[in-house]
Amino acid sequence: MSAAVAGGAASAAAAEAGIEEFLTRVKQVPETASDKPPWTGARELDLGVVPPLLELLDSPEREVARNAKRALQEVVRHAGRPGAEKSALAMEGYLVEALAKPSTASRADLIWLLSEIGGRRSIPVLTRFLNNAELREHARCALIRIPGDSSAAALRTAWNKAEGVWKSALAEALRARGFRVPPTDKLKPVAQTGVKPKPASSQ
Amino acid sequence: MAQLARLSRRKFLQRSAVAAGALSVLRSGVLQSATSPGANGKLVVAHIGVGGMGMTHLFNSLRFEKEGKVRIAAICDVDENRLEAAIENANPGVTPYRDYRYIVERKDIDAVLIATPDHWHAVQTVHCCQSGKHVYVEKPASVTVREGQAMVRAARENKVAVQVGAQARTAKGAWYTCRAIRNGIVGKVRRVSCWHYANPVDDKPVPDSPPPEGLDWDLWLGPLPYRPYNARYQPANFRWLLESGGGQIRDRGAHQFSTILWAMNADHQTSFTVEARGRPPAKGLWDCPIDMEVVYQFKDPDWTLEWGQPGNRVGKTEFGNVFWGENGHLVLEWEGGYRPANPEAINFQLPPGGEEVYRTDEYEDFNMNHKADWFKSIREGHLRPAVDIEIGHRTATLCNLGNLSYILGRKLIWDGDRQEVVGDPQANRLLDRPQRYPYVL
Repeated sequence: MSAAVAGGAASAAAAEAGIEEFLTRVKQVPETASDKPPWTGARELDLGVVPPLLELLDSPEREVARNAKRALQEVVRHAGRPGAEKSALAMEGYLVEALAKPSTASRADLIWLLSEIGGRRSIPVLTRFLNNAELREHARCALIRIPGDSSAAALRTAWNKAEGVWKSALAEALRARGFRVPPTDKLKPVAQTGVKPKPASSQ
Repeated sequence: MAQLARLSRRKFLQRSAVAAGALSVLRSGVLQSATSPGANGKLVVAHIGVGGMGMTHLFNSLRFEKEGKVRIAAICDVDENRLEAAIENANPGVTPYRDYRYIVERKDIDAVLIATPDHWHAVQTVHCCQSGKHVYVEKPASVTVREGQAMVRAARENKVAVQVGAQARTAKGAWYTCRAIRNGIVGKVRRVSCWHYANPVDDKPVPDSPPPEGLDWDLWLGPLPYRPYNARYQPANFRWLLESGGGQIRDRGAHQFSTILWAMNADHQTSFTVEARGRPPAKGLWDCPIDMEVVYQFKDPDWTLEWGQPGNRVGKTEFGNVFWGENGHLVLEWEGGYRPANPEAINFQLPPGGEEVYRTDEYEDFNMNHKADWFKSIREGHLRPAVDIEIGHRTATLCNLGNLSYILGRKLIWDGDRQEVVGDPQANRLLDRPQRYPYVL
């Protein structure tokens, strides 16, 4: 084995060991909120840490799922830094792949993470969610945030097909992106109160 | 001193490029000169949000109502219990609402006081402005930079007065400090530091649950992304989550930074660098950093603003500010509203040729006084109260970019003219957070 290959293998092994140690921490619940956060150092790890973190998002242990979410937030924000476009693309790939899988409890969180870093590759999976009653509003917001013609086109296509309240919501998304659209019902008051005014005799 | 104060106000208005005596049109349908707010001198007001600070505003309005300055027409809250309590305290004839949009559509209401949680401020302010209503909105003005920009636009396009509730700028404590600093009490100031106690932590997280009886959770969430109710989130604990409250830097920081910018005469210094670091909580729903240090660097003139949790507590109380000058330092406890200024500042005599600082001075109670300042801006027609929305937006931008630097883990270079972070597309994406329909700008 050449020195370069041996060096590369050693680095990969060290990276894997670092990820394993990190995941062990993330799976633990701290005693108190003032302890050192288990996800500290997530940004320094190889992006190979992302798939196992994505799985931990659905942990039945609430604080473990939360650790995984906070670790992923740190990784996404680090991957999106200036000059790290390759990392951003890789991170986008992981998130798109995770969202393409069958139902997970954490898809709303993933959609919002994708909105921070996603580009053209994110549009198809987000567009599919525009037809999902539970997730469509999150996807609509993500498409507002992701710049470029593809996201705007996805919103416009959906608006053309939509009806009722959802059509208004998509219209407002297009307005947020700078397009002119007809007025919507966003200002129409709906919720009624059961509280009665004070009677005049109580003065 | 009174003459100097009037001159200073005129100078301020000239700088604001607003002609005195401009006509103002009120939604009560009466075209008025700038000298009076309405046909009988009364503003018709409504209150949106009657929690802690909201009830203070309501009690202020009740006092103004006794003085014949306002008529309270409506009160709105998404919590039926709070709404009922507020209606009970108000006079007969006040209409209760759950949905703020009823207030927006009423043409008889001239002005609205908004004391809802931070994430509602922009949407409700913009909608009220667009229906021609003057607005008093609690601080922080906005939770994102783009929301703040929308608020400024809405105020200008609709020619209404929007006052942000950083009431220290009309309070004695901040005023004494401001005039002392501006007139050299410690010489040139190159550094201002803030100390503040830490953000609390959630050591007893609980699972999500149904909302309590009487609370409209959908309307409480409003523009925020949907999430199930959690007892560790609402009512007051929203402040300790980055997505909703933004922590102490956005709560108290909005007050402290407002006073500091005023004292440093730095409202125009909209470009700066910001670098934050903090210690996140290890568990629980709340994710605002426990400890935090944020450094803002301004240029021309050069000075540094430091936010410290806990920071270096130079004064005696839980939070405050220190102006470090070439000839010493001056402490301002709290934000210049609730506590008096340092005796040195109170006793400071202006030097010959010194610059007096204008302050509306109609009420000893600074909450009342801040509203009086707002009424004055409406009555006089210039529509630029002491904490005009543009000033409030710039202050909130400091708070919001401090949090953004912490979230991203890197230094940000803020171009105040272009209103964007230099060379950081991800940061620029996070200057906005799309709102949940129908509670959208």
